[in-house]
Parts: sequence; structure tokens; C-alpha cells
Amino acid sequence: MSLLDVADFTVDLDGEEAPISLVRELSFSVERGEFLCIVGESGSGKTVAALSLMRLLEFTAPASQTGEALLDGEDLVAASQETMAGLRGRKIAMIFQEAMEALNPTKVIGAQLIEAVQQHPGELGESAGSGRRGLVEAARAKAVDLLRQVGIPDPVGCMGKYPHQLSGGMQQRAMIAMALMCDPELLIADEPTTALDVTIQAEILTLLVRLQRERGMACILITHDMGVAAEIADRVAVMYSGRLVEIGPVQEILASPRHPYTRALLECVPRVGLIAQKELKTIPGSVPHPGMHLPGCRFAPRCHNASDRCTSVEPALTPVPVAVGVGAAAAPPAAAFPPGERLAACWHPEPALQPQDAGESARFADALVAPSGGAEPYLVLDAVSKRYAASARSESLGSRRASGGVLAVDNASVSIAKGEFFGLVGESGSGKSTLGRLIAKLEAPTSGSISVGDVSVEQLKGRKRVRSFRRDVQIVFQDTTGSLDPRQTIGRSVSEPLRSLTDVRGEALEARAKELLETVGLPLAYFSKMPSELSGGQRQRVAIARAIACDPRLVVADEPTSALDVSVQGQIVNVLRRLQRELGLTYVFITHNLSLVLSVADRIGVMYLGALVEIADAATLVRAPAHPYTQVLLQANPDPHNPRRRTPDTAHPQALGLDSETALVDRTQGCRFRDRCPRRQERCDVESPELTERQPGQFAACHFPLN
Amino acid sequence: MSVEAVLIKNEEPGVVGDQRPPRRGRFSGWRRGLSGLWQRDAPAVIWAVVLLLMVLVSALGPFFLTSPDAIEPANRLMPPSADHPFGTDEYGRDLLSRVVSAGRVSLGLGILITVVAVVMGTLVGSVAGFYERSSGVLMRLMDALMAFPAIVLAIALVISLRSGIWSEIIALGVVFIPYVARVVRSRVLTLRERGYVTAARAAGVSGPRILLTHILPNAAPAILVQAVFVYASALLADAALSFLGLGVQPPTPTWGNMIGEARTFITLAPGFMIFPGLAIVISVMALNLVGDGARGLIDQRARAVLELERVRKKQGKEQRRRRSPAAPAVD
Repeated sequence: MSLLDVADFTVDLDGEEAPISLVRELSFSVERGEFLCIVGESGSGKTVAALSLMRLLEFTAPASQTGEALLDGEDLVAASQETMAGLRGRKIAMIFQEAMEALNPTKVIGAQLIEAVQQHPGELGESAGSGRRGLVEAARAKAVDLLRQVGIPDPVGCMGKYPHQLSGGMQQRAMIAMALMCDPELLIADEPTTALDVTIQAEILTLLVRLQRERGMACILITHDMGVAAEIADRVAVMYSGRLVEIGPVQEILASPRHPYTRALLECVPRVGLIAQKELKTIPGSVPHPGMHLPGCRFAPRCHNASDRCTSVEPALTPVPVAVGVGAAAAPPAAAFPPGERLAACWHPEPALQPQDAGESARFADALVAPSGGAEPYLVLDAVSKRYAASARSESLGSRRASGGVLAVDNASVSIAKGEFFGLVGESGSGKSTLGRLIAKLEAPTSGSISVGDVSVEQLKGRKRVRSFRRDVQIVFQDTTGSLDPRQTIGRSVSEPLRSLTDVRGEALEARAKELLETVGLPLAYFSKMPSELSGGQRQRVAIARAIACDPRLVVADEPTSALDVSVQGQIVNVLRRLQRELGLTYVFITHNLSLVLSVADRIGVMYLGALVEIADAATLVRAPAHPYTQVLLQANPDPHNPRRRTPDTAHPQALGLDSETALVDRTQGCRFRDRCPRRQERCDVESPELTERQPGQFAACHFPLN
Repeated sequence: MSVEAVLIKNEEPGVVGDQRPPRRGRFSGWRRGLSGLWQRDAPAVIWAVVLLLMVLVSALGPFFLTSPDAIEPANRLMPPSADHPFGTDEYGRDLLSRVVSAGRVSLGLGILITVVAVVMGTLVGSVAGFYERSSGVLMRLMDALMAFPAIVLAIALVISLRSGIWSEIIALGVVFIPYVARVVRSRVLTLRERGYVTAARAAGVSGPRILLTHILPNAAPAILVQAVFVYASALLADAALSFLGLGVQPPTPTWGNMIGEARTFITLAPGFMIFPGLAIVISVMALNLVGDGARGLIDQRARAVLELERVRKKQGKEQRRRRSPAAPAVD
């Protein structure tokens, strides 16, 4: 018997009018010791399903469940909240995306871990005897042991720390330890790594797999990232609009997705190293509202292969034949589980085999075209640094003292040619956004010089010249909700830069604004809409329209797609690339998404703790990275097209993720990456490496570069 | 995705077509809006109606009632009767028409005081919030104003300005400036960090323009709510000043100076004091409750919680009904 057996599980939200099904007739099972990943875009009902299985949703929303969810024979749907309180923690535990919010900020980690046990003493209570003191002592010992198991370097010290004293990755580890305090049989992890950097994500995923294998625990991991699922899952379940659309063993799903949605979702993830000369794949439209009345398949409006049947009768989850030899040939040896049943809810399943996917040798075929080396430099950064003062007060007083504060950008020098698509990658805190803001003159550099064309940015004085600079250099932000004024119509937002930077007024202004909407692919009807009526992707298009309103030469795109679903990400990047071709724009594209930047950028700069450590074109970077940090990033990057299975042994003990300790490295002398570097030698501790050319077009700041 | 996001998520009309669920319900348009307000916060709606009635009666009443200054020496300090529903005062003037026309003066004064406080407070608060360097000086000035008890400061100002309607308006307006300024400054401080403000900067929009076109419109709901509370406080302060004889001078009636006149006759004619007193209590209470309701309306989080409570109440009732016959079977 399976550990968890879910059948016809439906979650209804009782709204003002008719109830809305957030999750509909979910059926799946999880075996003991199995790792199931539930994948889907935002709005697909993954989190709702998990919270409802825990019966936690009803505390925060007027939701009710029907159907059956048998956990070890006990029905979670029919159970009372008292019964559930007994099961939660002991049999089924959950970890959340935001560890900082899930941990109580007023209590030390140790107290929170011990508290988790006191509800369900279980075996611990029996072994420790009857006394309450004994139980607490036993719990403390167990907590320290678990903190060690989850990879916290100083478990005893950590017990007495408050959550805010730990870095994001450490908080997530502490939360995992807390979930494990009562030895649950089923662990549900809701996007546990989404808020983390790729390197820490890789460590947490490895940790989860190790714990799961060691304990023979069942795991359900919810993620929007096919790459994550590809690395750790035994089986993958794909959800769309509250329905399960496909489920099966991970290798089979990756090698030959049968549901069009699964296939589209996979194709939307950019292929590392395969420079996309054409457009990135996208899925048109967006996930339908759960209350939307759609007879038939809910994916039909976005499907490339929809027929009349698809729009009238909803397909049920049915077994689909698995093509012989698919998956097994290319994939690493299957997990300890027999190939499970392969189910898909589609009237016209995709053909089982896609031969073009085997084209591994086609990589870089196009990319070998030499990068535009001869072009004149347009944006030149020369030893640019930005220091933020330690406190807001000294910041506003304009303190220029060298000591104290944070050096957000340190001595960055690069020149970018006209028409180039320059990618800037790095972990959070690497200073890539600050550099973008410096280029766009939203902040002034502490030292160094920036010049755009023949204009030196820091010597820009006078309203007229600033206006002319703003016409040439524009910026697109990450936050799609925040970057548009909620009280202004789209038309007003788009025409704002025209009004402030040009003399276009009246009808010409409106005509230009409408033309801009058309350019970014939005219907004219959106001119008078409010931002709240638009989706994230549409709002980002508006932001792009704003940015190109005054025909700029250079656009700084600061994480323009990281708040968006993968199916929409491609749409935005395609718009940017089309504008690059049509208007001859130069881009500084800031992102933490390696797969994306490696497949669209001409050249890439890798930043670490404020410094540019490597600059090279995408092909060189993938094939032969020179800086060890670049290699660490590449190894941590989840890629469903070329999955690197995480097993308990794939941890890289030397290349630790960036956390509060490694970020505190003394940056005044030596290499800033030395604490995480596997190639560290004595010279790295004393001498700062300069950015030097290793081979034509490839610069790296390392004493002992790879190759 | 948080659950709250599920509750208040605003799904968009996609390229595929409008995917919002069709709206169902009895009402449409403004009537639907009203019924929504009623369901969300019925007391606030009732008190808003009360407030509206008071304003209407004060504004239109004097056209239908006897003059508030008509003296009837024969009928002094009469208890309520058919001729004089509220009774009469020490000169035999009709108390009903005096309370109504006092309402006109008091409510009108309150509005003017509020306007002064809101305009000045918004100016000070937005400048202090937007231009960091000015914050220290301006806000310490506001702190200094707040350090005095409101009524003492008002008395001092009125006395130094010579008593009269305009000096009272200015005095009380100044007293309430900090209450508006602090709210506006805190809103401006959060709003100026929003993406669209940075975006406007990048688009070359000048500072004052950003303040006017992006920040103030988005701060407006909070300012309006605070204005309602200031209005309530202004009514009370005005009553106190008039009671002390520092506000509007007799024979023009205000609720405050009526109570002041009545205090000598409190045992002889309690109605003389009770009716203007009630008018003050009801209007101040109505303003405070309407302000609370309005605050709930603009606060998205509070809205989601209220909604949840309402639905859960409904759900609880249904569940009790459903479960009652089979209660022991559960668990």
C-alpha cells in the first residue's frame, strides 16, 4: 500500500458567489521512500493542494475539501482538526518557501525545535522516561543532532541563535531540521529553494535528497522549476489550473512529455549553450482563473493542437503508452523504483519521441560566429566603485569616508559595444543591480567613471543635458507590480517619459504611446486600462514600452523576467531581442538566471561580491569557464535538458554556497572568492587578482584559472 | 503563492480572452457597490447615513424652522412640548432651531478647520517625507506643536489672535497640522521607495512632479481617512473653545456655547444642555466610526481578513446545520 493515496481530491473556495474549485479531482499516490515533484506555473494550484492536504488552508481561507486522501490508511479529508493536529509534525510535515516567515523571530532556534517535539513526544518521550525535564533534554540532544545532519556548522551555537542571525540558506536548513524533529513519514516542501541563490539551492536540494534516502521518507516537493524536478525527483506530477495533467517517472517525462503543457513547459526553459538565434519558446496566453467556466480541457485555449473535442469534453487522466527504449537509453540508471504508471490528461497526446532533442552535437553550431569584436565601445565603465555608508544618516550627509559601510561595486571595468546584448550574472548581493543603477544614473558612483557614447555620466550637469542622457539610457525593473503607478492608466504611464523628456504633446503624444503599445505586442484597448487589470508579463511589456518611448540607445534591464513564469519569460526576452534588432539597442541584461542569459546574451559578465570576476562570450563560458566561481555557478544551475541528478554524494564540500560567513571575507586583500574556492592557494590570501585577458575575448580575475 | 494572494488575486484578461468568472448577483452598478459595502461593514454604513442626515438637517433645517434668535420672554426654560420639541432657553428661544443652526455653524467650522489642517499638514508631511534633509527641522516643529495639549495650545493661539471665527479656524487648524503631517510623511516615505517612483525618476520626471503625480494620489486615501478623524477632533475642540467663551460669540449659537449658557440652568432645564450635548456626541461618534470603516476599506489586508471572517461565519452556520444530526460520527 502506498504511504499517501489521494483520490478525487478537490478543494473548493467558498467565494461571494458560487464556490470556486482551486484544485479539482486530484489523484496520485506517493510510495514510502519516493521523491515526487509537483510542477506547474503560478496559479496552477500546487500550493493550495499541499496546504489542503495538511488541512492548513482552512485557517486562512474559506476552503473545503472533498474526495479522499489516505495517509497510511487515515483519511486526511474526513479527519477532524484535532486528529490532524496529532498527525501534523509526527506523520506529515511541511517546509515553506520563506523560512524567515515560518520561523518565529522572537524565539531562538533551539526553543523552536524543542517545542516541535513537545506536542508529540512519541518515542522520544518513552526513551526519556516520564519526566518533562528528561523529555526536554532528549529533545535538545536530538535537535543538536538534526542541526548537524542538515549541515549547520556549529549546531550547539545555532541552538541559541535567533532566526535573523542566520543567513537565508541556514534558516532553510533550520526549518528542515524543525520539520524532521518528529521523524515524519511524509515531508512536503513548498518551493523551499525559490528564494535562494542557485548555489545554495543546489546544497539544499542535495541535503533534501540525502535526508530522504537516509530516512526512507517520502517527499513531495513543489516547484515551478522543471530543472529542480529533473535533478531530484523520482516521479514528476504536472499540474495546470488545478488539475493534474501528467504524471510519470522523471526520465520519461523529461525525455518524452506526452501532455502538450508538459512539453511546452520544458521547451520554455532555455537550453544552456544553445544560443537561441531564433525566438525563445513560449506559451501564449496565461493560466485561466480557477472560477473561469471552460468546458473541456483547461489548456485548450493555449494549446497548439486543440480540436473541437478539446474545447467541449474535459479529458481524464489516462495511461499513455510509453515508447520502448525512450528515456532508459539516455537517462542515468533509474532509481530503485520500478517504472511507474505513466498518465496524461489529453485527447491528443504528443508523439512519444522527439528526434530533434537528441541533437547534442548541434550545440554551439551557431555560436561559433565571432562576437562583434571590432565594434566601437559605447558604454565604458572604468574602475567604477560604489560604497554605501553604514547608516542612512551618514549616507544622507554624503560621508565619503573609506572605512565602514558596504562596497557594493568594487572597481568594475568593462566596455560594451553598440548593439551588444551584455548579460550580467551573479548571486544576490553581488552588486549587479547596483551597477545597473549606476549606469542609469539613478545613483552616483563613489569613484571611477562611466561614459555612454561621448558623454561622461558623472560630469553630467544641467537639466538639459540630464534630459538628453535620460533619453539615451533607460531602465526596466524586476518588480512588475511596483513599477507602474496603480492609479495611472497604461496610456499615461507609457507617455510619461515622452511628456517629461520630449516636446511631444497632444495628439502626437497619444499616437506615439499607442504605437509603443503596438511595438511591444499589446492590444490598443490596453491604453485606457489600469495596471491591476494586467498580468505580470503584460505589465512588463508596458515597462518596456515606457523604456523605449524616447528611442534610447542603451537599456538596462534589471531582472526583467525573474518575477515571471517561465512561459512568459520567453515572451519578454523575445520582445527585447526583437527591439535590439529593429532599433539597434544596446542592452545590459541583469539576471541570476544562468540558463536564460547563456542562451540570449552576446557576452556575459560574472559578478561576485561587487567585482567582475569573469567576462566572456556565452559559448566560451559554458565550454571553458576560467574562474572557479563561474564553474560553481554552472554546476549549480538546474537544467532539465541536461539534468545533473543530485544524489547524496554530489555535494561539493569545498565550494560552499554564499552565506553570511563567506560574504564577510576581508575584501581589502586577497581574492574575495578564496573561502569558497576549491583551488585556493597561499597567494590567493594576500594578493588580489586583476581582471586579465586569458585568451582572446575571455577575461578572468583569478590567480589559478581553470584550463 | 500565499493564500491571501489566492483571495485577493486579480486575474487578468489574458490574450486568450476575458477569463474572469461571470459575475452573478442581484444587483448591478452602484447598487451592487452599496450592497457590498453593507455586507462588509454595516455599522459604518449606518453611521454614514446618520452623519449625512445631520449635515442635511443642519444645512436645510433653518429654512423651515423659526428663527433661532426669536425671543419669547413668556416661554423661558420650557421643557419639550409640541410647539418647541426640544424646549426653550433662558430667553425663550426655540432650542430645536438653535441646535439645528448651531449645527450649521459647528459642522461648517469643523470643515474649515479640517481643510486648513489637511492642506498645511499634507504640505509639511510630503515635503518632510520626500526631501530627507528637510525632515529634521519640519518634524521637530511638528513635535513641538504636538507637545502642547491641543486645547491649551488652541486657547493660547485664539487669545493671541483676538477671538473671532477666523482666528478660531486658524488656531485649531494649526493645532491639528501635526496629526495630518505625520500620517502623510509616513505614507510618502513608503511610497517613494516604490518601483514606479524610481521608474519615473529614470524617465526624467522632476521631484515636485513625482510628488504631485505619483505619490500624493496614492497617499490620498490615507489622507482622507485621517481628515475624517481630524474633523471629529475639530468638532470636539471647537465645542470646548465655545464652551469657554473663546469661540464664536453669542448670540450666534454653536453647540459648545449653548452648553456653556446652559450650565447655570442644568437643574432647571436639563434639556437645554442635553440636546446640544447629544448633537456633539452623535456627530463625533459617527465621524469616528465612518473613519474606521473607511480605513478598513482602503487597507487591503484588513479587507481580506474581514471577508474571510464573513464567509467563515456563514460557513459555520451551514456546517452546524449539516453536522448536527450526525455529530458523533465525526472523528
